[in-house]
Amino acid sequence: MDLIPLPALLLAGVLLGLACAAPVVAWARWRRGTPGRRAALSTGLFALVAAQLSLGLLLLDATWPLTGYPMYAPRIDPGATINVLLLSGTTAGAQEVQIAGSAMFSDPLDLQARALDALEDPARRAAMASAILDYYNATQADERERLVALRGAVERRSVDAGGVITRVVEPVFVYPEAAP
Amino acid sequence: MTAATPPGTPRVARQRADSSPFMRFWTAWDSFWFAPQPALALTLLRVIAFGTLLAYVAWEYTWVVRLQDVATWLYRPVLLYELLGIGPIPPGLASVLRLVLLACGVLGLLGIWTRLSAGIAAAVYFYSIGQVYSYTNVHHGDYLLGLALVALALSSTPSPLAVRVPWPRRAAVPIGMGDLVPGWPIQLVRVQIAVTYFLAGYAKLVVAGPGWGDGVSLQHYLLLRGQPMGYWIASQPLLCAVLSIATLVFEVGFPLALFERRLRWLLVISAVGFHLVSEYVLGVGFNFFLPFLLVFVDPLAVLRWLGSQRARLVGAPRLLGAR
Repeated sequence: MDLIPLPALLLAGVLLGLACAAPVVAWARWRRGTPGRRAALSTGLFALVAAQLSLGLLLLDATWPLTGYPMYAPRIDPGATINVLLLSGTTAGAQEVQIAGSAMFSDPLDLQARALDALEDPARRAAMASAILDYYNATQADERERLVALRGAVERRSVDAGGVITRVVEPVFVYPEAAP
Repeated sequence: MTAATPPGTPRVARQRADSSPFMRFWTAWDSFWFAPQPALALTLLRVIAFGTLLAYVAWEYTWVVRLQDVATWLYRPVLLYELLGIGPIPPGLASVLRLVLLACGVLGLLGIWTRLSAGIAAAVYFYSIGQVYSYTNVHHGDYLLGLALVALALSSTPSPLAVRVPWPRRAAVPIGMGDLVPGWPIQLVRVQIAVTYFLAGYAKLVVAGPGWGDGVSLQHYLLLRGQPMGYWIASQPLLCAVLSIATLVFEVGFPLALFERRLRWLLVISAVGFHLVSEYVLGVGFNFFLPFLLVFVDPLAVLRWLGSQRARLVGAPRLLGAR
């Protein structure tokens, strides 16, 4: 909220107030001669657009389905490191497989957003790794293709001012811990 | 009612007599939203919405079905679900809802029970993507389809280009393609598209400031998404700066497409290019948003142009023969 300029904050407040007042406005319009259906529809459209603009100006993302659109908005400083979760595993048929993020959710980064913190935390790791293993195995009809072990690594990616990209992979965990 | 209007005056006469700022605002507002559009444009919206719904069922709905395999302790309901007390999707329900969406999509595409199909499809669609967002991040490209379905459910305009059915229809007056009808569903989709782009640009300017345009943030987002082409672009700082500035200008400027007909083509084509490049270099697909950019096209003008081209082609041999 500290990021939002005062004029935008005030505008958002006014718009939200007007959106909340829409039923009263529709009633007032009907009283002044606007046909009921037209008054309800037109004022409803106003309320929808005002609420959408208001939540957008406030950068709110938790108010789905009406939200702000702050994706890819944060500034990332030069030289910063981007961490990306990489998963691989061993199947019951002793095959080594890479598990693409898109094998778990529609957006490859969704799994990382939910799981990376837990996988890096030794206290929560086993439960999260077990859940991922079960979720992956639920789609494998052939028992030999089901995972018996899961490995996680984090690839740390950065780019310097000249455009040179560095990628360093650091192993994070093996589940179960006794697995090779 | 204004003081100058005597009691008992008919409602419409009272409306005409009322020229207060309050009513003047609403007159201007209504003239924007209810400006007549050719019925063909509404049909186009119907086809886009139900066609996109079927594409969603075919390509994306599998993620809803798979939610029953996710550990329920990973369920973090979106705020609306929390307020409504909606829990994780029960096992088996996703498969049933897929059939419902499929049936609504086909019926709506054919113009049979369009409003009912749109209403049911909107409810099921919002429930489904709300379930997905309760396990993942909220994605911003999916809302528009739901909104378009809600608009179609509320629109009382009969739909031309509907398949004939053996039972009698309630809509008494048949409607032609060129007939003018209230165009608010089309305006609603247009406005939502414009608002989406504008708020995305606004967020970048507010959160990061104009410095977002230096390309550094884009370089890192390209690294995060990890697409092969994205790595190459991330290694070109100047290109990233140009793309970042172009993105900001496009996003903040897109609302002009609502009011400036001459800029509309440029902005809509830019939007298509923007999404195709985003898909290719960032792996960010707006597949269920992109088709709705067609609502900025005037289908009658396209038909007229196609007709004139056809006339030229048909007339050409005659001209050659006459020579």
